[in-house]
Amino acid sequence: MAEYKYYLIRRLLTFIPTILGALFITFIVSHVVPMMPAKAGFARHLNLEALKRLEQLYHLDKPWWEQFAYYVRDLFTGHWGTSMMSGRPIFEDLRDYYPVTVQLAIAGEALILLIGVPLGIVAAMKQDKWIDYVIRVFSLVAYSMPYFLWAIGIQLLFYWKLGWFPGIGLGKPPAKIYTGMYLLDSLLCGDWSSFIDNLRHLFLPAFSLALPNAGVIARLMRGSLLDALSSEYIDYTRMKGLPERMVVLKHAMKNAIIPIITVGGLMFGGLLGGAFITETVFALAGAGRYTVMAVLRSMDIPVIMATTFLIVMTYLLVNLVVDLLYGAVDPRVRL
Amino acid sequence: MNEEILRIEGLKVYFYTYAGVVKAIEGVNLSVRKGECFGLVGETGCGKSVTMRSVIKLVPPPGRIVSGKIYFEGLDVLSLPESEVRKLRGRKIGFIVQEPMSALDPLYKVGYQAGEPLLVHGLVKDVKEMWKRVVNLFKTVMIPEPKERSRNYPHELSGGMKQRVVIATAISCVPDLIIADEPTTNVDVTIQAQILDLLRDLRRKYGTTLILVTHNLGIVAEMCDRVAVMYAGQIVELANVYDLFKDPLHPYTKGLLEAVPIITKSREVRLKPIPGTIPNLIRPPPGCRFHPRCSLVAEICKRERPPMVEVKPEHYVACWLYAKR
Repeated sequence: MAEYKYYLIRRLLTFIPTILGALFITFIVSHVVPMMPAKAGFARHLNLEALKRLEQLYHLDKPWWEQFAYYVRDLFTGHWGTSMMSGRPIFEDLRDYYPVTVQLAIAGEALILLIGVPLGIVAAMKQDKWIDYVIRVFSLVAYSMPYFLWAIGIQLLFYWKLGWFPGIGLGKPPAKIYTGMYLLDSLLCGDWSSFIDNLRHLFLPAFSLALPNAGVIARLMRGSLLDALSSEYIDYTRMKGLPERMVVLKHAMKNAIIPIITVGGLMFGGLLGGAFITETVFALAGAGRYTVMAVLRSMDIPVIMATTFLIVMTYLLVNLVVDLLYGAVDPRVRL
Repeated sequence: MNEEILRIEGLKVYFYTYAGVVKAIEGVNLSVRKGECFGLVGETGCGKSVTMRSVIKLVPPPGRIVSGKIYFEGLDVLSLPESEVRKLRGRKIGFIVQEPMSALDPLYKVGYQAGEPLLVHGLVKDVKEMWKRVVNLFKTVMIPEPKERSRNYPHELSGGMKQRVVIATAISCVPDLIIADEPTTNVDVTIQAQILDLLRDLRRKYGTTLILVTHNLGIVAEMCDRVAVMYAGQIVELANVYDLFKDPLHPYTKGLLEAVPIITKSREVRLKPIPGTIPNLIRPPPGCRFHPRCSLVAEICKRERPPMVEVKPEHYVACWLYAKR
């Protein structure tokens, strides 16, 4: 356990240069865009005099390194600025939008694993039988088709045509809101009708988000399980007299799951960054849509930089968790 | 001493590959006596390992046992259901594989892996007892600091140590037969000697029958009581070690012995390799499979497979030089 503690400290220290580096890049990118941020945000409403004052207020008249110092200081003291789009503090905006994304990401990741892993296992166990071919074709199709096609197709079929699931927005808000993730909140306050409604609303977007990724996982799982099954140590467990069930579940599966941890973990990191397309098709006010809107609609630089920071942080955290999991499964990984 | 523990009759194992059917084992007969050390020698790819794996019905795909009988302690192994064969594996027949580096699952402690046969064959009542037995086993195979080593993972041990772990695994259930498939091929020479000493000690201690599969004639001379020479999926000669080395009969055996360097000979004496290469077993040569490389080839060798004949007491050879035509 002491190893884990030192490892954690070491890793958290490496976060510092990574975060600063990421912030610096976003800062520079937003800085070299040939525009006046204050003008872009407010020019329609203000005269030049007022613009000058705004520039002073936001330190836009200072040299870039000073601006960067202000920026870093404010991020870490919780002053994420005000959105030019909504006029609200970005922190408050994100408190509304981010839980929607997190909820979608968790549901998506759960479906990715629930679909991908079993399919991969079945394909590997029935190698070169018809079911293996079906699964391989499925996964090929699943990950070759872009997200928006899946999203629109699934919405058309299950919402418009069949009407099995609601196709847009979130479900009924629960009686009390703690985290902003309706599904979790309704569970926490025992609001079952809201829970069911939110589950139904969440299904289609999560499913369409999961399918392409599940295709990748299924293929990866099939390959790595076949790899494990053909290895000499698996052969040797048979020579020791282990029943086939134990050979597969205890030895082959544990080895095969290692790449799934890495790839599945990185997928989760990606999903947490927001799924703009899926959020748009299913009319979900999530962080992905918030970010892209900030870019497209108004060049809302404070929002862009804040969400970038958030994405960097979540990615780093997910990566850390992946590495810890990896170390827990594979003794060869030095923590 | 002459009681039989294993008999293989007319074993045929074919590999069904895309390129065609590889007739890897074509009618192997042999019998191993209780308590002896039996050597099985031949070049790489001659079917030694496959023959031995057939004994526990674990021929790697796409190989299939096509015909033949295998009797182990009177049991007709090939007609037993899988669940019954499983009770032989690890319990009655211990296997030592040639690749200690990759024979151990990287994710489990070596002690656990060595004790797994005890667990699955119900010889210990719980995992705690298993660990206790494993530490003793590690002591038996002379692993230093057995308690600490048993808690290591495979990557933390050296090749020699891993080979000892594999041997500990093989003897964990005190089997009646140990099959050692090239146990020393992948460890360096000093370790080789240690491993062979260890095997000899174990045999002395438990009286276990040992089948030693190897291409190293030196090891055979040192360890074995009787030896069978395999060529291209067939047994060509079978004798006790003394007779085989002193008076080899089959041209292939003679060739093998001439290809072994002898330290006392002067450097000018060159080794005599056997001309030609091992045949393609998809379309094996008709008649005697060795005939294309044989210097004493006769017309009949190209047409008919020579029968196994007992030329001298207990010395069998499959060659037309000795068989009645």
